[in-house]
This record gives sequence, C-alpha cells and structure tokens, in this order.
Amino acid sequence: MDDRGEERLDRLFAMARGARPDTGSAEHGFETRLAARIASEREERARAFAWIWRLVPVFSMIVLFLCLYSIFSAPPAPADLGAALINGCEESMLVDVLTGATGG
Amino acid sequence: MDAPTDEDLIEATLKGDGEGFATLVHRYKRKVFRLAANFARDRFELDDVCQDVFLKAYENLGKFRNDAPFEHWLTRIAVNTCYDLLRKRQRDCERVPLEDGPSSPADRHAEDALSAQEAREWLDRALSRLKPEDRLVITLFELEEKTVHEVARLTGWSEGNVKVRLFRARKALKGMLGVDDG
Repeated sequence: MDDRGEERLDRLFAMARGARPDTGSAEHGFETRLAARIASEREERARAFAWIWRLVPVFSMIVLFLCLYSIFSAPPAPADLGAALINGCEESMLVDVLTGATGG
Repeated sequence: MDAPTDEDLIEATLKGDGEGFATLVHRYKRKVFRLAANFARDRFELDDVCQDVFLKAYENLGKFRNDAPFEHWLTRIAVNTCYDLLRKRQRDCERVPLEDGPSSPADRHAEDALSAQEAREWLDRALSRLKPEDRLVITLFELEEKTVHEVARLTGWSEGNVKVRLFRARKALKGMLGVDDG
C-alpha cells in the first residue's frame, strides 16, 4: 500500500514539474520597479539619518544636564572610620584615624 | 567583446555603478522568479518576494565573498526569503482548505486523468498545508530537483534534518492523497 502511495506521489510530482508557472509576464519591467524600490529605501534611510542628526543637540543637552546635576547634587564625602573602611581607598584617612592624628 | 563576469559587475556596483547591478538582476531574475513562483500565491506577491531577494543582495553585496559563485549566494538569499514568506503566512494562520481546490486525485483513483496543470494546482494546495520547513524542503527536492546535499546547503540545515523533513512531508502528502500509510 505504501509503495502505491509513493508511486502516486512521484507521478504527481513528475506531472507538476512539467507545468512550471510561466513567469515571463511578471518579469516584465522588473528592473525598473526594483530600481524605484532601491531609491525609495535609500531616501527613507537618508531621512531617518537626518532625523538622528537633528536630535543630537537635544541628547547632548540632556547628557550635559545629567552630568551637572550629578556633580552639584552629590553628598559630601564621609570622613569617619566606617566609611573609610567601606570605601577601601582612603588609606591615608584610615592611618590618620588609627594613629589619632585627626578627629580630636 | 566578452560579457562582463559576475565579479566584474559586483565590483562595479560596489564602486557605485548602478548599471552593473541592473545587469546582474537581468542575468538572474528568471531563476529567482521561477524559484519564488513555487511559494508565492499571486503575481503581486511574487514581485514583492523577488524585489526583497534582490534588495537583500544589493544591501549585502559588500559581504559577498568569491569563495562560491554569485548564483549560489543569490539562490541562498532567495530560499531564505521564501522561507520567511512561508513562516509569516503561518504566523498569520493563512491556510487554504484542500476542499476548496481542484478535486483531489484521491477521488479520481487515477492520476493519469489529471493534466499537468491540475496536478500542479492540487500539489500547490496540498503543499500549502504543510509546515514551512517541510514545504520548503520537498519543493526544493521534488519540484526544483535539488539533491539532499544541495537542499542542506541552501537551507543551512543538516542533511539528516533535510531527510527527516522530506519523509514527514511525503507522509503528510500521502495522507492527503488518501493513501493508508500503515
């Protein structure tokens, strides 16, 4: 039964291969349509690129504002022993605290 | 004077010569149209798919390496674009009911009575009910007469995977023909 199915399917495919769709009419003028599409895609991309350039000053101002805000709104650095230990980089302050040189 | 080679035309296109690409399109459009016609439902969809293929080729021409002929590279792009079309169609849940098509060969008990055109139409409808991967593989193998190795190379899938998909597709088609597979 399975062999018969294979045979029927093979016959169908063989017949279908003999009826390839004629694409001649669809191909007519294809180069022109493609050239128009490439030109329109390129134009669209150029427009998007121009918009990005136009937005550069806006983004620059935002970044500048955030930088200034973070500089002027930062809390003063702590000067106690715990903070020095946590930060781990204030070695001289740590020595001062341990030797009693600061903090009265 | 000899016709310019594909490599010459690619080089000219990359240097900004639009005529070079137009010649490449003219040279290979028939092959791309014939392949895409196996998957497109009408001439508008066929035109869109073929434009997508050549647009992708144009945009990626700089990535083309001369380790394989341009024709193979373009066919790979065409196969991938057709596969994308089938997947998009599946996402949109578009399936043609088999009953809406020409009478099934199973009803006639004799495929000899079918014309080549009728066989093609029935197969088109039957293939549209398969999974995109299975349809792609069996179309390339049976209708485009590619070998398993070629199908694997064009799709980027392993030969084992291609064979499994072929088996599944044939089994499903036999089911649609009304053939008991057991």
